[in-house]
Amino acid sequence: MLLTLVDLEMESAMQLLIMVTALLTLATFLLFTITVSMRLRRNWQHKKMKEYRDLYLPLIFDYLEGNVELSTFQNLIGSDELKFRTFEDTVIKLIKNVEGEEAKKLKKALMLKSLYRFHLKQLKSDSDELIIDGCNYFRYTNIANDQVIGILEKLLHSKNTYLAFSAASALMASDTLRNRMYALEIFAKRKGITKMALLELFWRFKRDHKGQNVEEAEFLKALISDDNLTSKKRTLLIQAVSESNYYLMIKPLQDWLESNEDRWKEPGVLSALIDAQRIFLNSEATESIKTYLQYPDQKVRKVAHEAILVLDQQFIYKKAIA
Amino acid sequence: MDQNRSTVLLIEDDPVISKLIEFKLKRNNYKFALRENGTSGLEAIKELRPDLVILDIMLPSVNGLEILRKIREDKELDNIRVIMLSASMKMKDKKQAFVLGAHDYIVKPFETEELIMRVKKSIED
Amino acid sequence: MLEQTISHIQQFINLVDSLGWVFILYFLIVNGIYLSLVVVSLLFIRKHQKYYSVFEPEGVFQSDLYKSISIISPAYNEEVNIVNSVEALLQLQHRGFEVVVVNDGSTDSTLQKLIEHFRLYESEIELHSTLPHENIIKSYRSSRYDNLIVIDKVNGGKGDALNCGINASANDLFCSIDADSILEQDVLKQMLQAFVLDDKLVAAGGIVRVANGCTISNYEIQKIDIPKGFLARIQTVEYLRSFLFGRIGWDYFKSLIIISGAFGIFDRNAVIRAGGYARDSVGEDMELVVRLHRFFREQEEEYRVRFLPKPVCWTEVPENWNDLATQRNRWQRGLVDSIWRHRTMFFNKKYGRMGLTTIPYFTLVELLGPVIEMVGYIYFIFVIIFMGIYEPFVLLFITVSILLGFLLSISSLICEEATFRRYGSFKNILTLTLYASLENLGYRQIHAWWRFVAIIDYIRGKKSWGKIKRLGFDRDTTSVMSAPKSLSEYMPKIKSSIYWAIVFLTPPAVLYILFSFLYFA
Repeated sequence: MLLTLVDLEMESAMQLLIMVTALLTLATFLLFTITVSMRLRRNWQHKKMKEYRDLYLPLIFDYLEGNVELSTFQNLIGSDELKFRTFEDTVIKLIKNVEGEEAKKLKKALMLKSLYRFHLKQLKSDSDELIIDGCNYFRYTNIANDQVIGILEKLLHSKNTYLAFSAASALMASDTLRNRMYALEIFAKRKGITKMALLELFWRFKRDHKGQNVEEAEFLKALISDDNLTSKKRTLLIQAVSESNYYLMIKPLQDWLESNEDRWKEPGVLSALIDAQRIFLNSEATESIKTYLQYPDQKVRKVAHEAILVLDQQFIYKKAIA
Repeated sequence: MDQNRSTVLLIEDDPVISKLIEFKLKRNNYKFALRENGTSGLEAIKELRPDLVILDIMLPSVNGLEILRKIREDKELDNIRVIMLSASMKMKDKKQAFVLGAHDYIVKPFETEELIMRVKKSIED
Repeated sequence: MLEQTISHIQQFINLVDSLGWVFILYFLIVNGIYLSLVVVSLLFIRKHQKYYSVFEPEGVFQSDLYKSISIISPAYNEEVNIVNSVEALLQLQHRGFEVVVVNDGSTDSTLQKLIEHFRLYESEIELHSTLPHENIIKSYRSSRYDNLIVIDKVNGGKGDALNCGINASANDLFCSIDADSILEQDVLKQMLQAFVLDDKLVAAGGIVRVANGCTISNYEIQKIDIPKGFLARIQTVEYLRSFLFGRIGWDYFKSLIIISGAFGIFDRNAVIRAGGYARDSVGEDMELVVRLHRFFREQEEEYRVRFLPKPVCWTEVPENWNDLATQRNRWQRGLVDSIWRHRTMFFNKKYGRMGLTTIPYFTLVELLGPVIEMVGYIYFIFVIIFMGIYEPFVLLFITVSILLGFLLSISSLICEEATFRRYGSFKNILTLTLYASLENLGYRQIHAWWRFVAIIDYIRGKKSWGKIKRLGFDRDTTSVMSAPKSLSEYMPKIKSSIYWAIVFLTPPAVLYILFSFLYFA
């Protein structure tokens, strides 16, 4: 009896041994096959992509000069994924570095039918990664299509933060203010987003460095005073607005500083408001700031002191040149 | 005719941007040279004595400002004109570049026309 | 007399035959778990790679409001590497980061080298928090780089130096890095991405890879290659297996408790709240992470600790057996220490998944594992000697410990090949495959022995760090140390020849056993 037991154990032991050895050999073999084939494929792909890029770049430059039509690209690229990926990557690379008229032309070039259709399909898919890929494409185009906008707006409410962020980024590419406002508002009110993500979106929301838009200012005013915003986000938006020189916001900022509402009295928010006056050299707020020089919170006192220093100088300067 | 053309050396690792700048410069009748990293860039400056260097701050392994510093520290190369190409528009960074000896500073994204204008001006100065 | 002893031992082994099953099950489970971790990692990482493209900071170039990172580099007697290492840090591509080097009372010329090369001048440094540490002697800034701070302080150990660095750093995030490591260029940006998009992240670790084969000059990595040394190559495979794919797997199950001391990024505020680094632990990196888990669970606040496989830190690994043994001894003591300090978490429901699964797993496998393994190996040898090789136990043991180990090592190579491919040529993969096998034929066993000794050392109360010889980054990988060799230098060679002899004889021996058994049966 004992002998058969030993035999049984031995047999299963042998079987296990053989099985693992076989698996091992298979794994090693797989490793080599995967290595060789993946490398070969990758090398081939890179070579092809470089070829395409060398072909497309001069054509793109000619297109920028007005000597080549968009249809040329469409014909060249067709629906070959490798080709249009290369084209897309190249154009996006250029868009990131160029501005003005040429950037506009490049954005138009990016809207090639095959690219557009491919990425729209990605947006409609079920897989988060594909959707993100699609959003990353639309970020560089001028979105005017209602369908796309509708999908992106829905995505803003997604549970996946990465997804919501990429959708918001994509909407920031739209020239229509309404879309950008919606994206910023929804994202700002989301729970669990970081200050930096919000800041990043804010910088993409802003359009021109020079001109300022009354509508934008109205929107920002409403957003910053919104009850649903946490103090931290409110502080951040105030800081961002000051840093980016939104002079249309000077009056609201001063009004909030002088208001008695609780939400503006939170130390972080208060410091940001005082600092905003300093940044905008708003000497009209000097008297209001002086009331904070003895404020219980240390940070507020410090910011108030610094602001007074600068604003007093401003006052002195104004008197001097009068 | 050929001797009157000025040489511009671009130190930039991104192939797409370098092709763009090459295209624009050649269109405007400049001679063009490209190096993709700081070390070979420095060597090229010594070798080719370009009239102007366009230097990107974000190079693959080293900060472009370090290269600028090395150019200024080398007595031979000291008078080479350098335009910095940078993604930052912050005053602090611009100041640092000028303090280290840059002649001009272009922020990405840039208008290609503007680039050409600045190149022209730097060379003619 | 001898006969009697042998038969006694045979009887003993028969009696405790079930003991054999304990060892077999142990190896089966441990190797099995690791294997599944590797597979999970592979699937997870491919999905994850897409996410990295989501956040490309543009506003960082326009705004000063961005969260920035302070890189803290504690240094003790690092005169060989210190200048290269700090220069490399200053060349990283990012905006507005600062580098805080803390000279922890070095007795060599570390500080002098820093002062000379970076043209340091004395300057008061504002402290932003009050974590405890030994006194600061002097603090310096550099006239060459305005984002470099150097602090000279009384020696207090790595945790102590890090606390000092944290106090001196002004930014929201800090990255702790060793002086013998080089970060890749876009590391900070990648780390930042994770912190930007996840509100609850308090700590993130990156991957550490073996730098010994890489050509490093001008403060950057010129060429990536696998090392030439035997030990370094084995460690290359080992790092892939346990530090890369193992950790991705743990991250997937939200149970990461080890972030390499060589490379981790932390939310400064979170660390300060949890009390900073422990000043009396040899494993201060792991201890901090375990404490973060404990702290936030006790506070009942949501938090996350992640492992990011993309940001890479290249580090120099020991190339001789003694230094390696010292290092692993210290790691193991650190692990035991970290778990022992927080033993209240063990099977404590209050700590959720951490307490019920992770800590017990680490206790059993990483802490007590070496003990079980050593006893297992000894038992294995006993069985062979006294019962002969044809016992089922012997075969099973070989299968689950060595062969399954092979499988594990090779599968992590497959994963590396399918995802990152950092080691370049095909020839390298072949070499690594060979070393993957060799890793299991002796190295893992010796490693288990070192860890076993370390546990005993810990119980005895050993607290030291041990000295490790630094070879420096600028060396040519083909040059050899030119000092005259003494007999002690030849010992490793003799040892390794014996080792190789055993290694080469084992496969034929195993085959012989199999064949004779098949004929015998």
